[in-house]
Amino acid sequence: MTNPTTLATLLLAMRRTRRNSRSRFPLRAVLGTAFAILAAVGLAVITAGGTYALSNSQQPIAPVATITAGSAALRATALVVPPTPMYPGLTLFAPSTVTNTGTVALSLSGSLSAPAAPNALSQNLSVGFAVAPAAGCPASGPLATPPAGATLGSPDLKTAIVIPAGGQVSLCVSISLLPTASAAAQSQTATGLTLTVLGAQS
Amino acid sequence: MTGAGRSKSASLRIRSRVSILVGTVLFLVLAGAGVATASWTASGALTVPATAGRLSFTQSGGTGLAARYKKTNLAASGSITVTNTGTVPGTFTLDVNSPPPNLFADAVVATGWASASPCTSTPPVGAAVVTDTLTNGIEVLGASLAPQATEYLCIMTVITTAQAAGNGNADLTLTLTAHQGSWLFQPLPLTFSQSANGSIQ
Amino acid sequence: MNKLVKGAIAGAAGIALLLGGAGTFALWNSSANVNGGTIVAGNLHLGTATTGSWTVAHIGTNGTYGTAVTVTDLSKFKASPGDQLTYTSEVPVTATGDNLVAAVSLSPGSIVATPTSATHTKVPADDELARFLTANTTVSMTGSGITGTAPNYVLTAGSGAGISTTATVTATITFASGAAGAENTAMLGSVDLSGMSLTVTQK
Repeated sequence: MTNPTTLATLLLAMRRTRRNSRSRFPLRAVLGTAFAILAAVGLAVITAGGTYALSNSQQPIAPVATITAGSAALRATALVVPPTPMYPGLTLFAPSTVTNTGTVALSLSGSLSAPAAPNALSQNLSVGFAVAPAAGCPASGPLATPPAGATLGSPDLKTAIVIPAGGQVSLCVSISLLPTASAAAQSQTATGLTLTVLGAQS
Repeated sequence: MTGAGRSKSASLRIRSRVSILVGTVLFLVLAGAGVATASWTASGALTVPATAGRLSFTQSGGTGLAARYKKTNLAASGSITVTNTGTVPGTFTLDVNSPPPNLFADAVVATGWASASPCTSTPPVGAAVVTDTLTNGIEVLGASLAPQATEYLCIMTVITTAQAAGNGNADLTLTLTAHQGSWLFQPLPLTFSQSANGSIQ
Repeated sequence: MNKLVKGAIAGAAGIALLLGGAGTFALWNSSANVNGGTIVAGNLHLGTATTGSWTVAHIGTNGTYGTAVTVTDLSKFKASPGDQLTYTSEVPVTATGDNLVAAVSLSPGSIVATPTSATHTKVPADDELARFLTANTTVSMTGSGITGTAPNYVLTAGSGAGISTTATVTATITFASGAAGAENTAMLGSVDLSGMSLTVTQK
């Protein structure tokens, strides 16, 4: 609460008192000092402004308690893709089980990221996923069968799949070679192409 | 403070109050705009293995189409064996023609069809048969062949007695085109010469 | 303190009495310390809070919070973005003097990262959780003689007699839900609330 102006005025008052110390407590000196102090206090009140903390009270309100945060986490089993050589318009399917290992429900989406060494094959693949049918994933099928997929550089694959905390879902991941894939894709192998299954707190 | 000064600071105060109000309203509008509340995120990365196959076909045979027509031999025929030697299925077509201009080829009539079994003199029941002059050419449609599978294309050519009495020759070119989606493959064409020499009977 | 100054103050007090100025006299009536301590013109005091209870609500897709449910055991609860935790307890409030305007808030240090102990190793997620939770706290107070909305309340004490009431104090801690992934750093974090206290600042 110390106001620098108050201190300065007080020091000034003390200095004045010392100067007059020859005459021990002459009335004039005391009066002068007294008014100086009064003025200093008054100044402190005035300069602090119309709104000032007059009183402050603190009170503990909670017993010993801890709040712990949960997490968002998921695990997906690796893809085992049929070794069928791909050609334009072919879709292969591979199952993957996604488990929600966190504490919040997750809404799934997917994105495809390019490998370090892309080629005409990896650049023409579309990858997607959907909930597996009861009979399991088919081995392969024409392009019309799979769900819409994510291709490199395209927006993420959006789905309506939600996994509750602690739950899991069986997916069929579809891998399609686009019908427009160039002949340069023949005999290529895509290495390092990654499908990221994204879970967002839902 | 003068009258002018007082109204200026008052208007400044009003202005700052208004700007705060506008800011608050804007914030409330944005907050209530139905923005998705997704917050925490998690992800799992899956490696996607993929290997592309190769489209490759071969054609062989058809030697019977190399013909020297006589009035006692007005027809020629050949059986082309088509094999899918690649690792992906494919469909194919066979184009049979002779490049113009060629009066002799104008008169040779070619007929063709596809067969799952070795060729006979007549097409299988229900087979699609195409026929036209050599100059116009015919295009025989093959089936979809799986890798390592084989199909036969049966080609027959005929001329008239009058043509056999005359002179002429033509080169038949057999061009196989295999395709799968946007992929195409063409093996080397087969070429056979046909002629007629009325003086040799 | 300098003897001369002490003497001067004594002299000033005496002079003030002699002067009889009502305003000046009132200043010196309460505790006055020229070195710049607290000048009190009214009295506001909070007593010991009762053990309170926790509830939690979660924000819906429409941006409004759902129904709050009781958290029977906070130690088993897993907080996540979009949660709004509320702690309600009763606090005795006494106030004398003219109508007092007070701002009520959680004191700094109410929510801190759980320190390392025999049962916990402090991790960065603890600091992050503390940061997110501290960013959005409010305290509301209701009771006889208490009006207003958070954070400013008016205690209608009236002159002289004052009020002595039990206020229901609700501390709301909101774990805000931001852009996707914005609060990922707080996952599995832990915060300690044993230092949670109210600050009531008279205005």
